[in-house]
Amino acid sequence: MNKGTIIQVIGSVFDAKFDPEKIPSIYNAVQIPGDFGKGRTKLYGEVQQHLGGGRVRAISLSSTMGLKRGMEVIDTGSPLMVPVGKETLGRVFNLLGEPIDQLGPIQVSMTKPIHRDPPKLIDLSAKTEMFETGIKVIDLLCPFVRGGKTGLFGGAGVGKTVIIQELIARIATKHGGYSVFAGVGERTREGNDLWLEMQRTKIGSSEDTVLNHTCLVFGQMNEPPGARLRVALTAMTMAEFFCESGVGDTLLFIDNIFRFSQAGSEVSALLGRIPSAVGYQPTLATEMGQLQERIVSTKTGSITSVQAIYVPADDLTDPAPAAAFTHLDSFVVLNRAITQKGIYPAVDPLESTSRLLDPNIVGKEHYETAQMVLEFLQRYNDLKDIIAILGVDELSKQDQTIVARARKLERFFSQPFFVSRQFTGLEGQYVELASTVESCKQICEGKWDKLPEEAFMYVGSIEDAEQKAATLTSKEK
Amino acid sequence: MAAIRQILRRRKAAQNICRITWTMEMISTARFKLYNRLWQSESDYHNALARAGYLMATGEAALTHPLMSEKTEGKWAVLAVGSTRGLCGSYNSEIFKLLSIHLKMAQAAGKQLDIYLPEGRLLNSLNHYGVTPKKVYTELDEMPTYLQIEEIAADFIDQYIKGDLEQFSMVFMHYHSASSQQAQSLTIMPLTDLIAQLATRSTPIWPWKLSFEDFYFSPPIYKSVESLAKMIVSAWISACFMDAALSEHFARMVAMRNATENADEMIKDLTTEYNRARQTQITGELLDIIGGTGDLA
Repeated sequence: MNKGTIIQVIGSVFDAKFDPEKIPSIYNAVQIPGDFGKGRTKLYGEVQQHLGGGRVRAISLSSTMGLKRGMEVIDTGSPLMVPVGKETLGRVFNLLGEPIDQLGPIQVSMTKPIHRDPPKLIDLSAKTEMFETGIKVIDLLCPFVRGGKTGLFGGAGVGKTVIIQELIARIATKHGGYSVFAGVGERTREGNDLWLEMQRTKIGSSEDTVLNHTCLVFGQMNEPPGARLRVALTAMTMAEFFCESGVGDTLLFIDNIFRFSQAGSEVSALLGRIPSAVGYQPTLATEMGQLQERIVSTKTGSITSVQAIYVPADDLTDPAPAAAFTHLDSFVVLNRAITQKGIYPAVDPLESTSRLLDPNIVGKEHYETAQMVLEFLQRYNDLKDIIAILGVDELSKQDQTIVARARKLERFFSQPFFVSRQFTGLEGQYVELASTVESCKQICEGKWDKLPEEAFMYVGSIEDAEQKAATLTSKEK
Repeated sequence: MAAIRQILRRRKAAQNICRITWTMEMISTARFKLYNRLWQSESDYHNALARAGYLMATGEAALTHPLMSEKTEGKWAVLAVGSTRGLCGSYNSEIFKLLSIHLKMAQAAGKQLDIYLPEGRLLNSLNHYGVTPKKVYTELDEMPTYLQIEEIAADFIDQYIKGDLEQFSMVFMHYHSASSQQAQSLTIMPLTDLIAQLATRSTPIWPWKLSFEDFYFSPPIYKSVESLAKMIVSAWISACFMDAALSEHFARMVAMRNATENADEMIKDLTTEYNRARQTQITGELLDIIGGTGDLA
């Protein structure tokens, strides 16, 4: 066994000295036996740098509390290995692959390293197919790609996590394959909520719970940067295995990929790299690329991923969200101005887009309706300043009509969610794509000009809006 | 960077708009004061004429004149007074709303409604809804001259006496006071309708204690009734125009004051946003430089 000694500890990074002939390779996991409190007898680290003279610098994958100079370090001889396979379903793990749901140890036939190369170019599948979510604004303007990557961009508190959980409720309950959820540096409470929710929710009409088809991996905000940096890879490895074993379409939910970049930046500073723009690590794009390139669909199976991406200070040009941008097929941008109007989901129709929005893929009618909707909303956006100063009366009649319809569209894009029923008191609504396209087209063409704006708030299809308008007028009387 | 430039551009636009709205507010305030003086002095004259008309219509031996007799056949005519320029809030849309009520009423009664109006914003609304006016006066100022009013009045009186018109009304913004203006329609012909409507106005202009017989006329009333009736018609057409001009400037004054305030607020917000963006950029650059030198040292 290759052993070394700890010679320096700086925060969550430590240096160890090995025999110069037998230093552990980069990304190898190292194990430190000892008493780390709360019954922890082992601490894992990951080798990041070779400093020369047999010294290596490693990041700790859990809290370094209790770590001392002179402690023994054992090279495990491989990157961190995590359990994979059907046994992982229904369980909750930390990044080390240890179950944390207190349901006892897990017996698996196989473990896999968390670091590996992305699939080869020739193995990739080039299918392009739409993934219906039943959320109007998403299906119409930024449709998801089956086997593709979707990013949910948004500042603090605009509803990223709610949308992710809603998507789990919508997709996972109808989905035949398996799902993997990675909680990266977000609230621990949300992880707990999700776990309980999944135990309750059944798949379709069967008695099987969603949890039985899902495995969850958490490295939340209480964990040190090393854990938050690697937890996404652990989840990725588990999802990859399902994909490769050909059990069908695998769903991967990551909340929140920004925390991965953020953890990288913390680690980078501790490793002594010169910070780059806005204080991020110089290797930001590389790290993001290594993770994102593994989330792909191959000939054996596909991974459809939905990633929440926090946008610091609501600035989409910040390097961290910008680095994630380039990898995605569909961008759902959430906007604070829309939440302030009380419209949820606060999807910004003008910023959000999808690779799929192409007449050859979604069809001519869908494409043209989407373009028409965008034109209306763009014109409304252009007129906003004038309206704010001079009032709507000063616009020409044509512009007034456009503004009225755009405001209706904007409100029509709100939708009651299944997961927020206890807050809104409204039943979740699943709206078929065809109905969404048809309704939006009719609004643009002026068929529903008569209905008041409030009628469009939190309804499913346009028929519901009509009904709501009727109840609104009867209430007034 | 792009964001900062955009903020600056929006601020510049808001500043330009603000300058315009502020100027327009000033102009309208001055005009309003002018018209207000005129309106006050003219209202005595209009009220006196209305009083005379009332006495004529309520006399024991009621006078008859073609302008006072009610008809059952002919077209309806409406002269709608909107503003020539925009930027006066909901002024024109309120006039248009009332005008469309007239259109609906005429349709329900199965009558043809002729719309007359001065050139301006109201015409755009009519065009948008596909309504063709009978005549557009292109040469009227916001307050037409005495001769122009005479000409308009003569035209309608002619049509009425010939029997083409069943009734003629004005649609305009009635100026009650500085705190209340309202779109109103006033039937000018038949004159009896005009007098009946004026009698219900809140201003007590009616000589309740007097009757027609208390007056001595020279020349005899049957000789002057014609000119008196015509005078009442043109005077009240002119009064409506006066009300409209006064209300328009008042509306514009209020609308522009609000617009200026809104623009000021927007400029303030944008300035804050700009300063914040600028400072963020500077802080970012400083951090990059300090971080870089710190690491290289």
